[in-house]
Amino acid sequence: MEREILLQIVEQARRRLAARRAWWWGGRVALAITGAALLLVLARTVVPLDIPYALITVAGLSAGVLAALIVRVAARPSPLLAAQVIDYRFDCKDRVTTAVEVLTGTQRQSVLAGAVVEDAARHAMTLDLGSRLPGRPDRTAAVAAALAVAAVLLGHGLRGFSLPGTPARQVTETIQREGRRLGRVGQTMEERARADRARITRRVAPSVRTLGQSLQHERLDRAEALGRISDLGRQIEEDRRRVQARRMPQGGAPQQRPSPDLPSDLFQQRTAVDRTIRQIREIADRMAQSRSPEERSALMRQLAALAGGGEEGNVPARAREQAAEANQQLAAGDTAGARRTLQQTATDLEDLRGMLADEEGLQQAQRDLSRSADQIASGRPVASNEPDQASQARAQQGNAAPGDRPLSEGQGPETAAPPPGPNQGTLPGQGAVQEKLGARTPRLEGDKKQSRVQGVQGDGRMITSELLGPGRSAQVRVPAGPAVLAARTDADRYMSRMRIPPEYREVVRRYFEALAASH
Amino acid sequence: MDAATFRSTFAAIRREVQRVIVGHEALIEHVLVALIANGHVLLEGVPGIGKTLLVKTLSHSLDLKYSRIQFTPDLMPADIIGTNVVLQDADGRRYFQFQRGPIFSQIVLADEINRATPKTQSALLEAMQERTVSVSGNAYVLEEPFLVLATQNPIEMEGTYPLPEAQIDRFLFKLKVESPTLPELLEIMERTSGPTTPAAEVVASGTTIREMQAFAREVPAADHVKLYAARLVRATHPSDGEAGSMAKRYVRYGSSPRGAQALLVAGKARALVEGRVNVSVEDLQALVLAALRHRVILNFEGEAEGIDPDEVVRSIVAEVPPTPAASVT
Repeated sequence: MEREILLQIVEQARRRLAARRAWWWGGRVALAITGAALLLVLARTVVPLDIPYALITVAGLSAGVLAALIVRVAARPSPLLAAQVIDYRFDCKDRVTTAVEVLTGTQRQSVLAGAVVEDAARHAMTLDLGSRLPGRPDRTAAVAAALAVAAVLLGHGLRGFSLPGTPARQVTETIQREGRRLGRVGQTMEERARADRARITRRVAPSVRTLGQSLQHERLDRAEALGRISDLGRQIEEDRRRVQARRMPQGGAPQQRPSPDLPSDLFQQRTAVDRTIRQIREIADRMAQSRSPEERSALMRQLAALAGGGEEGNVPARAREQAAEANQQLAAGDTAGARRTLQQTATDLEDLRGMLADEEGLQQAQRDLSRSADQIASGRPVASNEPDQASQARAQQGNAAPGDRPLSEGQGPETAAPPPGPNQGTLPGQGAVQEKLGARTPRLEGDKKQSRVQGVQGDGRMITSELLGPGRSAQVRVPAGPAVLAARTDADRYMSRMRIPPEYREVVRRYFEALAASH
Repeated sequence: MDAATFRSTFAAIRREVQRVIVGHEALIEHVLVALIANGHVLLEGVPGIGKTLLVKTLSHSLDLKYSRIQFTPDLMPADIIGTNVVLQDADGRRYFQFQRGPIFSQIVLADEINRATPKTQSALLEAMQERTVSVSGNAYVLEEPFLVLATQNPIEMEGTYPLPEAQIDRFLFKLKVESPTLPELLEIMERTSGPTTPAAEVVASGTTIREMQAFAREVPAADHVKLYAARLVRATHPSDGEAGSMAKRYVRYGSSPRGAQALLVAGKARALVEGRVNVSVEDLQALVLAALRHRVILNFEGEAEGIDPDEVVRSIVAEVPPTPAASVT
């Protein structure tokens, strides 16, 4: 009887001891990891650490539970150890241990064996195991839980907070600076999109501006700032792919994901489309006024040239087909049909130009976001007057996209953003001010020779064409003679006063001489 | 014999001794424990504090043969163990007959043992360890129980012969007899200044003592208790890995295995006295000073600095963990 009682009590002690050891180990494992998480949270106010403290905290608690389970299952104490613990904790003078050894045969047989077991059982029955051998979690587990809560709360409360003069503060300032820059980028992007009729870009621009404001005013840590930039970057990439997918059937080469370091040829394509639109509209206008066979044959030559891809071979495929169709209609005497075809072509090209502008604007936004992400990721302190080296470099290469223009002095990082315009934040066509384009300028016929202006920072890549040939008659708003003479006089005067590149000097001179000769 | 009888008998002997001896409760208990453990005791103390009276009272409370040997420098071994004398019978023939010395008792008081020469002191060696006396090729077995209670004076060292290590190791305990406290001294004065002095009565026979000794040997000790005793002894050795800090510095030789044996056997007796039927770590800790202090041989540095072996033993007790359960949870 005493034997069973004693073994039962020892078994209870074993269970309690196993639970206690499990909580001990689990608590300490959790305490170590959650303590480390808390230290990391505090360290983030000094050092920019992109460490998922919340994840570490949860992992610490999970590891504690796992360790407790493993210890509970794999490291169950022996009955002898449980007996020793009972003796030690309840001051049983080694009664229980000796009795367990007697029962398990460890001890030499003795006439006192029965008395030993009886004595131990009598003492053990008076013990309250729960009082000194509780199976509940010890204080360590509670401390670990408290540390976990503290790590999460402090991590949330100290998000974006940094001590002055520390590397973390540099990152914070970089985030705010990039926020200001993105705010300006968004505004510029919106204005440009409005001018270029880039609907998608105009829709995206407020997101960029909002992102910039959030980077400026919200307390974000580096990881969160980079995450938001990345999210917007993905959204813009999806928009860009959609625009590209829509543009592809209308012609033009597909654009891969833009590289922040490589210039895009979208601007060149858009310029070519602009030129083609102007040529088609000019042809359509002239078609209405042409009566003589010579004029008609001249128009047919121009349409044939367009159908052949233009002088530079960059007329979109769809426009070529339509130009060929118009040429056939014109050849068949269907002037009205040819004009309708050309007007439809111009409309299609307008859409294409908008899509190119969208794609270009979105690429530029991606480049800006990528640049901001790089700056924030590096956390490099940048002086307020440090120029945008990448943009400047691209500009100096002569092929900088419009969005790559460096900020002027008045647009420095510390300058407040200008007030929003009347159409800012609205969808195309819904603004208070209707956008209007100026009157189209008739072009001259003749062979063109392309040249490129080098070395001067301006509105991106500039392509000029030298036109040699007779001018086309068109509607004019001022008398031709005095205007040409006045222009020639002004040209001479300015050419003598201004610094003009030699090759342009000759172009301008010949242009005005040609005008003077024709009048 | 059962545990209750053991306790009652032990209590009766103690009560009788305490009728005569004032105070010295721990000393009396240790002496009785040594008696049950079948070990000898070396009592050390200044003169006049009751050492001899304690032994005499103990012998009076037990139905055992008692003899007292006063050790002096001219005491010879034969004076202790006896000698062959020439006798003449009625026919005029002479023959040798062994005349037993005072060692042939059951309780032997070796008073001021350190005043005899080492040669005489060594005469006790065989009797104490083997419980036999060998004379002229004949071995005489001593009657059990056999208890040697030796006394020595720690202050009058001139003309004394310190006990050799081999002999001192034979003593189960070395007990220090302290001076009585003021209340005890008053009680001593009260008891001894009247017309009669209290005397102990016999409460146990030799047979009873032998039964108690045998019964005590049956007391089990848990493995970790035995391990603790062994580790305590090992810790007295300066070259041992688990040696105590003071042992490493001040001890020349540590305890022999007899120290561990003494701890365990005496622990068993004490456990029964304490109402238990198992040896506890607490028993060992209560007896460790008495069992080991005379087995720790100090080195020159220890002697020079006046280190008390008790300090060394206490430091060892403090440094050796008693049970693995202390490190659990």
